[in-house]
Amino acid sequence: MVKLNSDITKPEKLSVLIVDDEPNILLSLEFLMKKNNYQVFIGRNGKEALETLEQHPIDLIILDIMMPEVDGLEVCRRIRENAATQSMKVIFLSAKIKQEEIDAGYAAGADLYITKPFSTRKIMAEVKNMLS
Amino acid sequence: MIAERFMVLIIVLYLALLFGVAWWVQKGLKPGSSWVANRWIYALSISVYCTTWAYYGSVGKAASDGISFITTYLGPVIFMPLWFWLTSKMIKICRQYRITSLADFISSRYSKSSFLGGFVAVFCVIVIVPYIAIQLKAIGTGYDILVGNQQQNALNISSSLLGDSNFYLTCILILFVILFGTRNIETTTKNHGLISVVAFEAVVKLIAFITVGCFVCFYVFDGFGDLFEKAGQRADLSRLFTLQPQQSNEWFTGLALAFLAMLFLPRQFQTAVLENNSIQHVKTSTWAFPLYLLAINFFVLPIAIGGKLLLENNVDPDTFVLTIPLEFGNYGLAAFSYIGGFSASTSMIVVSTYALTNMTSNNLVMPLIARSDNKETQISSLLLLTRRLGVLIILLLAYLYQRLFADNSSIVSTGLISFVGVVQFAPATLLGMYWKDGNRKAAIASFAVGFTIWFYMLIIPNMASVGMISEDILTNGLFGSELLKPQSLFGISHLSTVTLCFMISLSLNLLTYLSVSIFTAQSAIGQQQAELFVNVDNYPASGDGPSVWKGTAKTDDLKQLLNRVLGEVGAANAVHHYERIHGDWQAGNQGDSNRISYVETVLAGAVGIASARILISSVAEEEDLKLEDLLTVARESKELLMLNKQLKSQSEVLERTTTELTTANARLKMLDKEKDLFISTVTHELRTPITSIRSFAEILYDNPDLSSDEKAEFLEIIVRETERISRLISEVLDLEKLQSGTVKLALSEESITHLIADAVASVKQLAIEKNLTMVNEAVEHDFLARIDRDRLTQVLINLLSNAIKYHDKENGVIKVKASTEGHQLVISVADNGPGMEREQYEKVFQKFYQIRKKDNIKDKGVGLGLAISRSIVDLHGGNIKISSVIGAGTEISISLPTLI
Repeated sequence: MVKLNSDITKPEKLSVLIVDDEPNILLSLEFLMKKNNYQVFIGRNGKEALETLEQHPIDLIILDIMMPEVDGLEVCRRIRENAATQSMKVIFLSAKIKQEEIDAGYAAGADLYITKPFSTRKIMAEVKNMLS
Repeated sequence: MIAERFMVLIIVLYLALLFGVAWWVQKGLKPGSSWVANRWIYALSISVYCTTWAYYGSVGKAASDGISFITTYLGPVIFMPLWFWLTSKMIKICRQYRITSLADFISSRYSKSSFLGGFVAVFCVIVIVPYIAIQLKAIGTGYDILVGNQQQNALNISSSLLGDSNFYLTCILILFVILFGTRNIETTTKNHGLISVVAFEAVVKLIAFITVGCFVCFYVFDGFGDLFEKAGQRADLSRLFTLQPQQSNEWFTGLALAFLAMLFLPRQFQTAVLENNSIQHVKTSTWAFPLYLLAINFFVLPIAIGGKLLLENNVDPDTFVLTIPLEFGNYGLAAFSYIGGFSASTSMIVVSTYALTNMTSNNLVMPLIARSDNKETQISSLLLLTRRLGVLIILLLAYLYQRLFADNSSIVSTGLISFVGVVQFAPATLLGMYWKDGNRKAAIASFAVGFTIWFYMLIIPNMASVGMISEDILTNGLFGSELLKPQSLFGISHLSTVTLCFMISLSLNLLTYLSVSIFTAQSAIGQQQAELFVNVDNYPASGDGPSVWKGTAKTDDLKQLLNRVLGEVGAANAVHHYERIHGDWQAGNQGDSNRISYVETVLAGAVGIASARILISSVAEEEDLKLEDLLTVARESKELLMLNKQLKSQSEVLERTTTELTTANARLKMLDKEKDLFISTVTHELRTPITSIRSFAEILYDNPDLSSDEKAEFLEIIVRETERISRLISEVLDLEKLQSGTVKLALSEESITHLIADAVASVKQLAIEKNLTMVNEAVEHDFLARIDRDRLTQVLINLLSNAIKYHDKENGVIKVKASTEGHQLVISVADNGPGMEREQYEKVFQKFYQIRKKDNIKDKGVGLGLAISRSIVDLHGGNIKISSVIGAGTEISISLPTLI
């Protein structure tokens, strides 16, 4: 679990957790989140994501699905089961583009399912929308 | 002595059992097939050949003449192969032309002559009735012995009818045959009920006889040794089991006589030919029947000798199987033995009567009815009536014969007389099957000659001995001529009468047949029938193929004829069967020979060929059939057979092709699936770099005020990802080329050592970066091999970079080795890294498979390296192997057969 540039002294900042096993995605999304003044946490797989969730209050999570150890769907389910994190916003970001896979994502409790390749502009718009 | 009431009870119970068996088999019949129609029942039914002659008579004959009794049974055994051959052809003919009896067979062959058919029927009755009578007598005599009646005048002519137990027995047998033998109008349908009873009785008589035999040999005496030793001490007995040289003539004729009789006795013809269900069964019987004969004859001589040793001289040896057990007070065995003899006799009676009544009704009575036909009578019921009357008359005649004459004749001698009688049919029948020139006149003449001699030599003496005619003829010969004495015709007196009669009658019979055939012409229909019989294999079963009738007949008339003979149901069935093969019943003109021929055949199955012919000609106008017409039919049916064969082989080819197509289809489907998987995986792999490129391109565009460091970093990522895409595409293409076989290796003689050294050099930098040591052990010995340099370098680099990539330990060492194993060159790359699971050995060669490293960082590779390497190695004709120990390291080795 790695925290980058965490700014704990300003609790008014909303926090976003980005989980993906692809470093480039983490890099680009982290850049964008920070630019928009969000506090960013990252995780490279589902296990790290859950650990982070235990330690910090998170407002929105962007989840890849295909990850080792614990996959995105499982993380989402756990989030929904846990009373503390029930109202967290969950966005799936995945290269799985088949309709049944999208349906599975929503069935696990996601608020939004975005397919890769994605538009950074779109994703930022959605994040801003959800967190306002 | 056994109580009469007890004996009667036993007999009645046994008869009830027989009725029960017949009824049960009949009841359980599925139309068309029956379990009874199997080869063992068939073989057992043929053993109806063994009658009371085998059961009682043989013992008697053995007691007086020794081993020579065996000729009656040895004859058939020796000639079994011939029997098989002849019987098979007879079966084929009978099945094909729906022949219902021996009389029918002969009549059909010889111009469908009703005269000949009738003659044969009458003669068979004359010859066989005494034989039936003898069986009845044996039952009566046996009964008397068991209950203790005086034998001497057992068959007093003046004793009342109703007091004669044999009379009751005769009535019961009449009932049995009528019940189970005259149900079907069509006599060509197999009579399973009757045959199953015969088979059952065959088993009973065999077991009973063997039981008595064992009793004599092992209970009374101490085995064969004891028995023959005691017999050897008596001169009159020791000659019984030695062969007498002067009997050789008798032996030979005895064998031939028995064999021919086995073919032509009506009961044998019935069971072996007419009731046969499959030629395969005949094959089985060629060994099964001799086996039965061996079994039933095995104890004959021992019993004969035993009886002679144990009993008084005045005891009739024929009765030993009963009197020996009685002597020892073993009533149970005696009764059982009696039942055995009873079985032997009743099975003969039943089958013979059945055969004879079919003959007489179809070949004697029916033609007369058919000729005087007034077109209205329901022939079917008339037919059944005739058959039942036939049973009644024949059995009553036998009964009368038995009352009047039987006590003067022994079983064996009567049997022999019947044998010589039926043998007269042999020349005309057998030659008729193989020689087309044999004609009707010849048949009639040969029968006339044969029977006359038979009658004169064998019947006349019998008649004289009972006082029907004066004994003059015996002592003085016909017309007072010495040479014409019945019992020693032509002055030959050193042979027995039977043997002499057999030889003379048969030779003159044969001679007559041959000469008359040669010197007289044959009618058109005679030629037709001859051709059909001799070349039976060339022709289809009547009604099923091209036909041999020529003429016209109204369809309605034909239908009405069917109704009258077969009844409504039978006629409907016949029409139905016809339509299945030839199409609509009404179609075609009146000259449609298929229809007429078919109806004639169907009728023949019911009333016999000759009568069928008469009936048909009453409604049809027949034209003379020329031989050419017949040969056309033969040719057509041969063509059909050939076409059939072709069809069969073609359909086999078709089947094979279909299988091949199915397999190919399955393979194609699998390949299709693989392709789909491949496409989805490749596109998936493309998505990742494209996502990165897009994201960072957007970021760069949307954020002009990025620091130059950040700009540089992001641009570099974009460039790197495009490289990644290129690499993916080229590796995919490379793999595809390799696997599709379009790549040709550019082979050249190369130094392996140099190759390895170059490969190691190109990855050295990578190794240094990761703090790994490369050790090249392939320097001591130089190997030369014929390989594709570039491709093999590609493989080595792949292996080396994998080793480097997946190494995660301190003091990592990667070793490269080269060696030879036999004719193979082996190059291996070994590391001391984390090792891998056994399940992964195969997986790593799969496309796009990449092992997840501990820190879960995805690497730059695509996952196709090993797949490509394997393809290259395969193209060289080698193989690639992995061995690994978790925690200790992995070794991948390539072996190539291209060592120089």
